[in-house]
Amino acid sequence: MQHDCVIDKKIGKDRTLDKTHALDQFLSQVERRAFKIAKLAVGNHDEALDIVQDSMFALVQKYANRPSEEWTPLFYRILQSRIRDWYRRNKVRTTWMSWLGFRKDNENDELENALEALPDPHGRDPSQVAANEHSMEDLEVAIKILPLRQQQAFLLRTWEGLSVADTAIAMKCSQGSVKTHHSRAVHSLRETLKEHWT
Amino acid sequence: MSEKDFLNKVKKQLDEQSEHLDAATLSKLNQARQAALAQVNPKPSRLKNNWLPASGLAAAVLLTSVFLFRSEEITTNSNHGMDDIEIIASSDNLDLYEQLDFYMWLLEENNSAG
Repeated sequence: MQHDCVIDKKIGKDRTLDKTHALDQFLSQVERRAFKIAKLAVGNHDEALDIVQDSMFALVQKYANRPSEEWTPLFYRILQSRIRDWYRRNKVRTTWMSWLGFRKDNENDELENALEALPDPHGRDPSQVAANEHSMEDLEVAIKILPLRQQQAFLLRTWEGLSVADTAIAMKCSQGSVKTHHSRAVHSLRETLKEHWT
Repeated sequence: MSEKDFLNKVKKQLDEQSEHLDAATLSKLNQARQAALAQVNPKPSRLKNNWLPASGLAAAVLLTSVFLFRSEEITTNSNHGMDDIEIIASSDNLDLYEQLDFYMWLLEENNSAG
């Protein structure tokens, strides 16, 4: 009886370790892209980190016991939900700020200029870096100015490689809406980038 | 550029950006992940800490119960002692012992008659 109890405890511990390991692997795979998606959406480094951290906590807390195949759409559903929450809060804050007569000042410009002057940590050729950075900047700007739903559909489908069905779960909308948002996003990006990406 | 080529180029650029995140950001992402994973497998020491007040309370309850039980037992025993003294000291019982010869004679008479 006691022996069975010890075996049950060991199996339980092994399962917990397996689950932890699987979750660790999953989160390691998605965390960079999740951060980038959040940063493209909210435009702020620290806010993007907070959003990713909240999403990780929520996934582990609520869905750790779900099959691992479901984690990707669930994680991105949480992430998109957190981004939308941020948008709502930010809209209220911006409305109040503009109503009270405050405006954003460029206090971080000096720091950003100083960081840009530093050498490339990966040892790439400066001209290549400049060309790539311009190209990346163009892409980033083009993605940032997309409406949020188009941005989400585009990043989840094209970059994360989610199926239409999983993207619909992540975005809490129909598959038809996903296709429409994605198609419009691709059209808009090609229009914006055609001069730079020929 | 075909749509497929365009999308491949976008994907490649985004992949490159995410691969070259700075060390501070990667460290924070790692910390966030570890903190989230700690919910699956809470540290045993924390569990022990959670049980500490409960075990202290249980010990206090046990000690109080033992103390109350023992004091009740002492009180009960002392009552029994008082009862015994009362029985021994009661005058009825002394009368019984004084008339013991009479009761013995009555028993013998009944036996011989029967």
